[in-house]
Amino acid sequence: MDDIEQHYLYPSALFASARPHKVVTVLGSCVSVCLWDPFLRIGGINHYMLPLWNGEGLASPKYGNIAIEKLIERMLYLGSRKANLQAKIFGGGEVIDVNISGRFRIGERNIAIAKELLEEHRIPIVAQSVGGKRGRKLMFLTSTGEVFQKIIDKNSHEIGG
Amino acid sequence: MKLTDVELLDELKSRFEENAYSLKHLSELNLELMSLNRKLEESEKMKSNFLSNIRNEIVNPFASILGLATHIQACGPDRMDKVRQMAAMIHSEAFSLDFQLQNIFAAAELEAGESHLSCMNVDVSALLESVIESYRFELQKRSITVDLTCSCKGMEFKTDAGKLKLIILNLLDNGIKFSPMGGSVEIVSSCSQGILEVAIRDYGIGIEEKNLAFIFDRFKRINTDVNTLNGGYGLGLTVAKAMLEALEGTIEVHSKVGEGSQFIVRIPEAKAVDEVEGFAADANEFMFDSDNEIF
Repeated sequence: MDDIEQHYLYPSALFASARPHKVVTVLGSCVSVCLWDPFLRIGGINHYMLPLWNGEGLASPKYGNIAIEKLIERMLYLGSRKANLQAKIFGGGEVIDVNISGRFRIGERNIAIAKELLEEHRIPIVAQSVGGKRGRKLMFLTSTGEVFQKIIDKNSHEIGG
Repeated sequence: MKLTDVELLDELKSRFEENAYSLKHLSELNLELMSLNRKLEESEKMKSNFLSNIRNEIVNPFASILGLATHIQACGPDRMDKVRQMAAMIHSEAFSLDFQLQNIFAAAELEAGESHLSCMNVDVSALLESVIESYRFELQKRSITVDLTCSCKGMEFKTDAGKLKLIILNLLDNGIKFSPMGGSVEIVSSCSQGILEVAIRDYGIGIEEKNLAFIFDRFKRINTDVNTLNGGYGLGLTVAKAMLEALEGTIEVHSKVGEGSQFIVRIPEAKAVDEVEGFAADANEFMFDSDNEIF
């Protein structure tokens, strides 16, 4: 497994490739949607921080509605059929003190948008680990669709998103 | 169960209150939705304006570059002064074109989620100097001076040099663009406790308070009549802000109409590469140790 290419996924970015990769990312209140195509054995993953783009700044995958649509688009571009795609969702913990952040229940809303949009696209969620009070470190194997997760201690300074 | 009249009234009252609350919440959400919708429509309109503007703003500089190059070719060997002058004009056209394209590609990359960090040790004062140097012709042309005060001379700071450079380019470009002939721009940079701070101040036209909220929106050009003279697509500050977010930095604006603006960016030093990459000492262990869950 060590000869597989590694990719570190930053918040607001997304990754999908036809070549096998280990994708690592760290989640706090952010959510990652992993899409996997069991026929082509390829996968893609995003990492968004907020549920909806509100017209401010760039229309980037920092926002769930954009990150999920773009990830699906990318998978289709790589040759997947939407009907074959499976989803796994992770993150959305309330690791940041909600009183300080001033943004109420970001994690929960991030999870909700993933479920809504995936249902709209009729992509089944085959596994999930969401919510809670702690962060998560993920490793997604794009060739097998497996996701390794480690729960990490609450520390908003170390958590990417 | 039998309720007394008082209990019944209380229950009814609380249900009415709940209802009123939900209604209020709903109408608030509705308002939010309407304003969001307006914003998206506006954004869509700006996007199509952008696409039609882009043609002129890219085609025109190319036309002048080609024209100037033809003139240079036709110049005799005794007209070196003229050749120099035209070369400077070509440089200035090509520079602004290159700068605009960098912003367009950076925005496209960020919107596609394909922007990656590549951190290294950066000599910040050298980077600032090189950005100022790239504006030399423009500054001479409009007799604007740029004063750089850098208390971190010779120090190295770990960050993404390309992104930092584009952030500074955009802020400086903005400062110069809105400065009057003969004006001045001040850059003050310092670095302490792992935070890099760069403040860029101009004494130009300034920004109205009501517009401060929009300056980072894409394709937004606050004062269109002034901006048309100055060119640009309204992407610069948007890109600068998005890149700062990628670097986990912040941007702050102070501005007064007629007195000028000051932009302050603060960027924390990037972590060591293996930490950033998430493959720290414990990485392999974490992948395979027993408290790892597999989905």
